Amino acid sequence: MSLLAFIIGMGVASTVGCLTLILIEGRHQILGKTERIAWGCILGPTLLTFFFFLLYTADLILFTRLSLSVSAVLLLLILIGIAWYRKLLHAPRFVKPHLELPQKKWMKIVLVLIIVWSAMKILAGSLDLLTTPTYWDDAFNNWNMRAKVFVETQELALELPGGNDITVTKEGVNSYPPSVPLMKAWLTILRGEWSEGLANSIHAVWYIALLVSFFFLLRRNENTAVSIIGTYALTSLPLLLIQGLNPYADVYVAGHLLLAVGALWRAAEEHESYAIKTWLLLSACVMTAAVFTKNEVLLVFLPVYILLFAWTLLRHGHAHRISLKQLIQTVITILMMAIVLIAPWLWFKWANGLTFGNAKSVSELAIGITVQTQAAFYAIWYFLTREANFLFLPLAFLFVFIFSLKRSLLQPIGILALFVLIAFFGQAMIYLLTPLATEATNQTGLGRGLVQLAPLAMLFTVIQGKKLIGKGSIDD
Amino acid sequence: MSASAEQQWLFSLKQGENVVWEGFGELSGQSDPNGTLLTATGTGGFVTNDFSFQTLPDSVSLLSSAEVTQDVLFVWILEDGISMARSITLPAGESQMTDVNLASEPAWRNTVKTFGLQFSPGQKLLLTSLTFHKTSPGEAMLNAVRSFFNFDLYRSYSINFVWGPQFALGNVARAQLWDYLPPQAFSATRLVNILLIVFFVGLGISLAFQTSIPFDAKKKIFFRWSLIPLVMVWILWDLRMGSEYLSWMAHDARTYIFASPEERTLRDRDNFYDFAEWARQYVHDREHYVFFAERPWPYLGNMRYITYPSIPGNDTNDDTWVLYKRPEITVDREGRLSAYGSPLSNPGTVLDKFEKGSFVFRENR
Repeated sequence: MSLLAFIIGMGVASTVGCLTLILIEGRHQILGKTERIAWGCILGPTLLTFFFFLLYTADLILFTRLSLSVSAVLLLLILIGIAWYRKLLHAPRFVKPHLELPQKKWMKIVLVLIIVWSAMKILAGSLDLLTTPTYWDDAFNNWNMRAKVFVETQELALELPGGNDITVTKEGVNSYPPSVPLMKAWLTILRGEWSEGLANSIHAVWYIALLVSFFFLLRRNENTAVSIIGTYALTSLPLLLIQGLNPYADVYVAGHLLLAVGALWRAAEEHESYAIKTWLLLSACVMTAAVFTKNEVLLVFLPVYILLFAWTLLRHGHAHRISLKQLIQTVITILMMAIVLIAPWLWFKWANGLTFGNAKSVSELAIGITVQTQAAFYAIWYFLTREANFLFLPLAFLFVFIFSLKRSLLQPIGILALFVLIAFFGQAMIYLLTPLATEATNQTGLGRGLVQLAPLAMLFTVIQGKKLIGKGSIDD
Repeated sequence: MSASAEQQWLFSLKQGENVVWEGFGELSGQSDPNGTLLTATGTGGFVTNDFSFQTLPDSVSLLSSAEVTQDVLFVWILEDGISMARSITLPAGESQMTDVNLASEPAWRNTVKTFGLQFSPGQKLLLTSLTFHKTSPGEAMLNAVRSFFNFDLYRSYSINFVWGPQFALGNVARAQLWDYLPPQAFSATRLVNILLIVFFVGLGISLAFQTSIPFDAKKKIFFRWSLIPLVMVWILWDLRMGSEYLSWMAHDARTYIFASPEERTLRDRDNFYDFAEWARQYVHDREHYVFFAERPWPYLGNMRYITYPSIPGNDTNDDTWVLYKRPEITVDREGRLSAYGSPLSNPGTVLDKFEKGSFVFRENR
């Protein structure tokens, strides 16, 4: 039953994602089939649970098998109907990825070895995820617990029983967007009863979808061998692997950021107006949907994204690659998208007194240099230089950024680096100047925030690092 | 002395050994062929300054016998008069050896002239000897390599950070690498980060003085040569961290996934998950129930999650009690749960027993 529920539940969610992507791409599809499925596995659950949330807040449904199933089918029918009406289901592909293999035998052996090594880790971690009980604090206190409460109450409950007559109020983890627990609840409701393996299975899907998306983003710039090596480097990051194959939500957020900022980078690289427009719309759709994944997307990542989005628009506008009319049309479409995808959740938060911030309200955070500041600074430094959380990515990223500074600041590839650096600076300031310093000194939130940025940092490091050692000027 | 042999200094407290030590506070000592029986009626201890090391030891081994486990302080005084202390747990039993890594103590320096032990009131033990060790350079090298591949366990913090490979040079430091956190060793990641930066800077400087090479060519050489050590250490670290990860997965598979239900345990939670699933059948019809585990975290939250919508708590007005690893709580003659002679509940019956100290009790109402 668990397998059937997984196939139906995840299948519906990823199809919702794929159809949404097809609708955005329009007549000139720019994602490959496999690539779109990977994107759909990340975006789809967010959009599907958002649709459930909309219907629930409109008092149209409760979280029952019948109402969620009907809602899911309705959403699928709407998306298929629009795609069919616009004749998009069999639209020609803009890019056909060509996965050529290297000619040299030793290179083939190297690639096979790193693929087998990475697959061993992912398979072992997935088996562990599916067959062991929920062990980690945030999983049994938040992500999975909220899912159980949604299933039991059939409502978007904003308070949890905490034990010892304590109630976990809506100011706490209940202020988090409900996408992850709602997705777990959806799978559970399809099955009929709770299953640890089923509820946790989506995390492995998100991690693998992240790796596949990373490979194809890299493949747009590099050959197959470099793309495989780059993806191997991403799987070698210990903390990303651990988080990816456990019931925490940060790799899910990382997936959204990779797609949104990766698509923005592609938009900035393009010269054809329809490709620019399509990448911008894809990027904006994923980013606005990401607001429904975790609170820090709205508070930390969205402002940085808007800044770089505006830079991309100005750059294309200045180069006359996109007309003023197209630019205005794109901006209006994106604003409408943002209103549809962000406004209902924000309204819900305000209406129910939910806090902004990660488990702690932003309004309650006093800002200033305290005795904790130095400890938090040391903890960040320690985390990045003495622990093996991301192997040598921090050093490699910084090295590549410094030695390609001009290109990083002026060329499209810089979007990846600037997003990582500005967002990290924002995170660091929060740890250094607010009582959230404990998240750094206890090494809890610190690692999770960096997990969200790691794929983008790796993408930049591989592409720009390759440029540094390759032929031609690095400022080309 | 060969480079591969360890240096040792024995401070024996056996009867007839010619060592000098000075007691302080409320401590009495009685010599015995097996050591000195030390009894503290108040805070007291002993120190000696009649002992010289040719070089600073990196660990000390205490040989002791005691009826109960005891925490004592190993104290040392530097030449400038500053005294330092480190707590040591001496286990119960006959002739127990306790190894203590001293190399990780920042104040364990060459100027150590005096050392001793301090005891708390009521402590009593037979101390046979303190043996100081200095790992040889050869052993230290070997320890560094072996400790690099000495894996941490899959612990509750592993979801937030991993320590990564460590260089522990001393024999005791390597043996106890993951017993104390943060690890009492030098981070290999830190060392390599430093070495990589030194390499990059050195390479850059050496290329800068090569006037015969054009600037653009120098840049390419610089980046390509920089890549070589980076790729090498990246692969090495991935092998190390990937192997650690696979060792965690293998451990889970061996001890939980493929183990029999009666024997399986999960990481540091022992058999809690099977206990919780077993207990669920007795609380599923209760809105609340009393739950006491060996400690609140992480069991209360985990139990709440597993038995939801039945909620555990410490409100003793509920009629059903679920106890996990609380052997001190038993049913007294009146049929009540009691601990150390104090009643905790109303009379009732044990519904079922999972193991000693873990059972479900329901009051008669």
